[in-house]
Amino acid sequence: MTDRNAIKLLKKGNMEALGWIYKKYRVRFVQRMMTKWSCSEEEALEVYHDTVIELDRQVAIGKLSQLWGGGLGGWIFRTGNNKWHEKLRGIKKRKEKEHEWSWLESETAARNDSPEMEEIFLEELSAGLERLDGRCQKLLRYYYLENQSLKSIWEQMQFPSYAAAKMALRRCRERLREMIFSLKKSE
Amino acid sequence: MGLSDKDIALLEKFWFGNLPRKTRNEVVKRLQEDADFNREAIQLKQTIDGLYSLREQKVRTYLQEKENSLPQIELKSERYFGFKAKHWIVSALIIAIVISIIAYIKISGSASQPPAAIAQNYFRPYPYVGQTLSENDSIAQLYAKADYEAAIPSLENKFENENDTLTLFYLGIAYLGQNQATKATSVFESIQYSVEVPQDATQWYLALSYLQQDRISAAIPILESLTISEWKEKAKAKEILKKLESIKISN
Repeated sequence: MTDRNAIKLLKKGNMEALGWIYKKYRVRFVQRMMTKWSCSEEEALEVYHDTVIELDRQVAIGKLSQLWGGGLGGWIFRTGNNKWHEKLRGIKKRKEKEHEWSWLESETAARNDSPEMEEIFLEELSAGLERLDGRCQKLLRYYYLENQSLKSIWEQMQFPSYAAAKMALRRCRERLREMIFSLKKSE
Repeated sequence: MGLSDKDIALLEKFWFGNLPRKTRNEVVKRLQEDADFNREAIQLKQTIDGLYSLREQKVRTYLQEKENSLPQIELKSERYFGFKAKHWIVSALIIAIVISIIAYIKISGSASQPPAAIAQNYFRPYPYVGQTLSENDSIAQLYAKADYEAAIPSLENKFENENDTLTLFYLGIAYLGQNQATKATSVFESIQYSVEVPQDATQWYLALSYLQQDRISAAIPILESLTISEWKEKAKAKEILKKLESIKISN
């Protein structure tokens, strides 16, 4: 397998491809991190996990269509370095466009700040997902949990059009939101 | 109340930063002024992030399982040092090679032959042909044996008696062979336009006699014109020009 093929497969949600990438760069990454940053093996591995997860996420949201400067290896080492710096600075792993949200003073927004709260929220989300109707559940699972592209979902689930699949995804997500937060409200 | 399809599409673009400034400002204003919209937008964002986090959990578990199945990473100090040392050795080798190449160029440039030596190296007597010099002729025999010291008086004598240009041509060659560059130069300069002697060869020997006198600038145009001539030995002229070039660079 080549890096390019692995990325192609990962775009289709193939977890084995991610495992192949993980194995390929693991030793070199850990050794390099340990030499460069004088960190422990555990720390290097933790950063490596975060880096590979970031890779998976970037592929999922379609931001890793092309690799520049050193190919996939280069991307992994660069992202790993950034992750290490983030770790040193104590920045949250998930880097969102926080400036868009900074002014939103809301109880809800602040709710998932702690890892424990986030854990609880994810459990609620999983439970909510289970309660959705079969088609919605399948759609959200394919798209978010298996990283499949909307195009492949459209074909697989036989939506009349790509736009219809996109619309269905939005509605299912909205239904999930309503389900989770209306339950919260009623509690 | 719930978010409409239009609202959701708008918020997605807003989160990805894909909205024009005007529309973006409108969304921000609405988020600030409409408490329900604000709350539902945050909830939707949390739902989307949560769904991605579920994937992240799945991936994290998978990677942990993968890690457990892989052999431990060897981090022995010897190997670690070896890994680094390998790079150092390769770098040192590359540097050594580069330095050697530079030194070679420098040395070969500075050690380039002086023009007189080049002339001497490239000097070959012209084969004796024609009617003036025959195989039986004693002058021809001396010339053929490269005994120029003995051949020169005989050739001078012959030229005085017969006033033959071809004899003069061979006399010039004999002078050149005997390192009498000044005499050779004056001979070849005097016959260089004569049709009775091989012209390209005359030019060639004239260039060599200039080189014997270190007159590079006089030799170069002659050699250059020989390189574009039909002369069978023009490759040699090119070689000499190359050598002269390196002398010019090293100087």
